[in-house]
Amino acid sequence: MTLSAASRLRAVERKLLYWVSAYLLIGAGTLYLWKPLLPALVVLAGALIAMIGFWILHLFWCRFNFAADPFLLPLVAFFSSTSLIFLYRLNPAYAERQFVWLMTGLFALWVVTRYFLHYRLLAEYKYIYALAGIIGLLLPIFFGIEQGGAKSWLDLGFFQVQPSEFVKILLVLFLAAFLAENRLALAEGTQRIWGITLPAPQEWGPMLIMWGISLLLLIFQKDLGAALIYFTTFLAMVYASTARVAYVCLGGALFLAGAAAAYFLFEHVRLRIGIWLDPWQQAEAAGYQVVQSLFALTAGGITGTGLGAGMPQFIPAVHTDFIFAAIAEELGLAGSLGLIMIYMLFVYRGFLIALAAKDDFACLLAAGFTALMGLQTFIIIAGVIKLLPLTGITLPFLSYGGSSLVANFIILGFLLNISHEVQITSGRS
Amino acid sequence: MAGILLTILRYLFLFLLYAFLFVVVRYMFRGLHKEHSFITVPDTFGEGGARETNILPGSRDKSVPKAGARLVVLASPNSRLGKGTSFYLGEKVTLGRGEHNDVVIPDPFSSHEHAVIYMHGHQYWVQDLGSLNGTYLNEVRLDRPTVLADGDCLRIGNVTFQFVRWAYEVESGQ
Repeated sequence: MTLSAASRLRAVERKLLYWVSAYLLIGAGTLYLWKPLLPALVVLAGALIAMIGFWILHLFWCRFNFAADPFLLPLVAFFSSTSLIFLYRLNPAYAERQFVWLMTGLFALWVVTRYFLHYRLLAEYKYIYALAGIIGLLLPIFFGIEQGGAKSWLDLGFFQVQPSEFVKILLVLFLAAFLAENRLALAEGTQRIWGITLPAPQEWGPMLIMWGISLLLLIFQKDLGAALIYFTTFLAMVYASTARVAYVCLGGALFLAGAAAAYFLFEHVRLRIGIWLDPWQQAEAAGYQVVQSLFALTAGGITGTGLGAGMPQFIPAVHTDFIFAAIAEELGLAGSLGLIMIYMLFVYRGFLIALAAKDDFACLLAAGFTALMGLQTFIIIAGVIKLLPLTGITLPFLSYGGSSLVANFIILGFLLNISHEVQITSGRS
Repeated sequence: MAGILLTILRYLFLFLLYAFLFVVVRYMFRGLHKEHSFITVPDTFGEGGARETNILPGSRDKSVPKAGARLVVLASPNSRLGKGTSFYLGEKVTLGRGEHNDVVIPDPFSSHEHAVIYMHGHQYWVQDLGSLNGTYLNEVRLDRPTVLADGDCLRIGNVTFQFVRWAYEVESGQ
């Protein structure tokens, strides 16, 4: 039963991977024709090797009857293909480095699906994650280097690491383990104060402390984007575990208070809000990035200028935070809506995995990772199209950035492991 | 020539993006269909008899209750309260999300103390206990204690029960 279920799932995955391969090769072919003067065979070779990487992983899973969700790998292969194509188009040097990081990410995914199948054991060490997470966030404050206004990078000689990307995973692991243990107490409350049932401090204290420290550290590093993601993921997980709207309202009120405080305390927050409200006033200075991004979105029109035919290079940081603007320019409204829909399908599969999960820890872990992914996508795309104030974070799997990519592949590995477990146990019963 | 080919490839690239989206959605839809039938197969198997019977307080001390009745779960999204489970009703049965209830309804739309079913004058009455999302009897929201009749559907959140009076009880009891 499980054997045939696994092979049926992998067959779906194989068919979807054929489509992704065609997509990547057509994209690489377009880029080859676009500038055939370059040593452009690199792009075709790179595309082929990247695809072979995904295929090897797929064949490995077939071999070991891995019964995980068949959609996530093709979806991520699609994001990675788009990432490689657009980074090559923007600056081949970035694409080459992203290629190396993609290989590292695939290797990390292989490690997670091979050696962390019994992820449930991880629930035992939750306070170690809390400690490791806090250390991970503290390090850049003392030894870090500043890039793009945020002091959140560690220099490790020939490459740089952003610990906050990995601490995301630790935060979700900690919260899932903690909430799974104290879910009922938090949901029902044990004390009655002013007619509202509230849980005792020992049930919410450690969680609030861990979360508060990480927020403070991120604010200290001026990494507002990461702070926002941590905050919203935290609220999503608390709501998923307790189903109490009161906590979300309380969190929202706290957020508003915190945002107001940050607005009056920090100069760079005031600047960001000012740009968001009216970028045109300072279109040549601070608002330049957002204004150029809006120009790019307009230039794209419905079907876009075509791959390689746009001018996204005017947008600062177009290869990381603003890659969505480049995609929207060259693939147009059609392409960017398609991309957003594919992100939504990823989130949909993630929540399906959470719903099917066998126990609270697995369910909260899947829901937390999925919420993290979805919120991150929403926040950065909303920043690029000026729906929300801009916060510098990466678009998952698409932006240039090694730490982010590898961390996202680890998250993907956990989602796959959870769905594998569901398939195996439902097949047996 | 190369220019035309480039244009074609550019459109082909966009087309493949949507082709991939379409294929993924189609497979997901097919999978949903399959999962759905996968879920219903074991349930129709268990429909012949109650999979699980829970005897509730009140019915145990009397060997033959005066008016016996049971609640059968018709639909429940949560596996903790499986479809086909039946609860034999005693003098008084409480329903809700809290673990102390006689019938625990693990549904997010259920209140902790959601409803109560009690016997009064040889008839079963159902009363909503001021729940947030209401108790629905045959899809009408309860606003006062109401008498239950055989075959009535009682819905709390996403969980639907059917109220069944024991057939032989009507004969032997009167």
